Amino acid sequence: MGIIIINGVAGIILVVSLIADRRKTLQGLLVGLQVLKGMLPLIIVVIILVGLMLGFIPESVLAGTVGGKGGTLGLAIATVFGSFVAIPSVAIFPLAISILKLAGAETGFWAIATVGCLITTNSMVACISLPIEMNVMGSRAAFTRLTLCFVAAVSVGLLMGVILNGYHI
Amino acid sequence: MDITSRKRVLRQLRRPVFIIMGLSIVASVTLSIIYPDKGIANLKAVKGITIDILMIFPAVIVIMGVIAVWIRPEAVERYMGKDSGATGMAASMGLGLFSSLPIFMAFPMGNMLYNKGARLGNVFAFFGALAFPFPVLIIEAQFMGMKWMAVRLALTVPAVVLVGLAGEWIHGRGKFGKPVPSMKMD
Repeated sequence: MGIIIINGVAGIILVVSLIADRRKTLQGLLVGLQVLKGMLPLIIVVIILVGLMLGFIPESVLAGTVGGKGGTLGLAIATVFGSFVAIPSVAIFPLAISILKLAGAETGFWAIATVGCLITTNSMVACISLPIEMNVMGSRAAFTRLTLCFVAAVSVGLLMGVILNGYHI
Repeated sequence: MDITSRKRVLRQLRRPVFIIMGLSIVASVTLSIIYPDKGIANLKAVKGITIDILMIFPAVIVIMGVIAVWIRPEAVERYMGKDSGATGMAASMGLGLFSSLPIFMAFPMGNMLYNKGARLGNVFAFFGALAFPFPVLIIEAQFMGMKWMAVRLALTVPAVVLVGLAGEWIHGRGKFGKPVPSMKMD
């Protein structure tokens, strides 16, 4: 659904851009391809790592620790997992739902905050791409941003636990 | 930057990635042989994620490439430059919201924006906005519900602004990364 919309938007942008200036658009597409080619090895690594995680870690282990019963331990695991493994958003929300469902009917503060931190760190903190960020943005800017994003992501996750306490899917 | 130094940067980037790639492929194959049933789950996960990522590729190439050729340095300076203030923050976050790139693909673009005159805080806000791109918000609302999506968005937007402002203040006049060769248009 989201994919269709974003590709549709991209298609419209492409057509408009082609009408406005054909040469410039083709040049832009080449730039896009070039950058994508440079990032391809990392994308493949992410795919293999996510396969390892989802394939070989038993779901019961994931549930018992991050399912809300683990308390701070579950929160810490979700935070580290979210920070290091870049799960695509298309995959993270089904995962989040399955964890919340394992928490049962009473989705208390810990269950919500754990899943919240998993989603926020996954979307804001990109440890796996830190080497690339350091190379492109400089190590000083990369570390500053990563540290601040980590603090922000955990804060947002914990606040979600407070606000959405008792949330029903 | 010339072709040789560009190739050197790319090689430097790729070395640790290839080591991790090799190790994780070996681990996947070994574990799949020991636990064949879990190997199938592994393959399913790999297949699903590969499809998800491949589907976003055309949009990434188009949006990224077209933005790169159409964004004029003067416009970036006007909206995201030194004296841009709240408008610059909003413009940066809007750019992140609609470009919706995976974060590691956005770094070269952030570098390009910075080298075209954008404020560092605005570049950070652009990266931060990739935490809630438009398609992700739709997917999130579908799976987690409207309320969940709205609460996360309402909390993340001020958090991203704070990260941008605090980051710029902490970073100060410190050294920044070299301009990315492939993004250098002029």
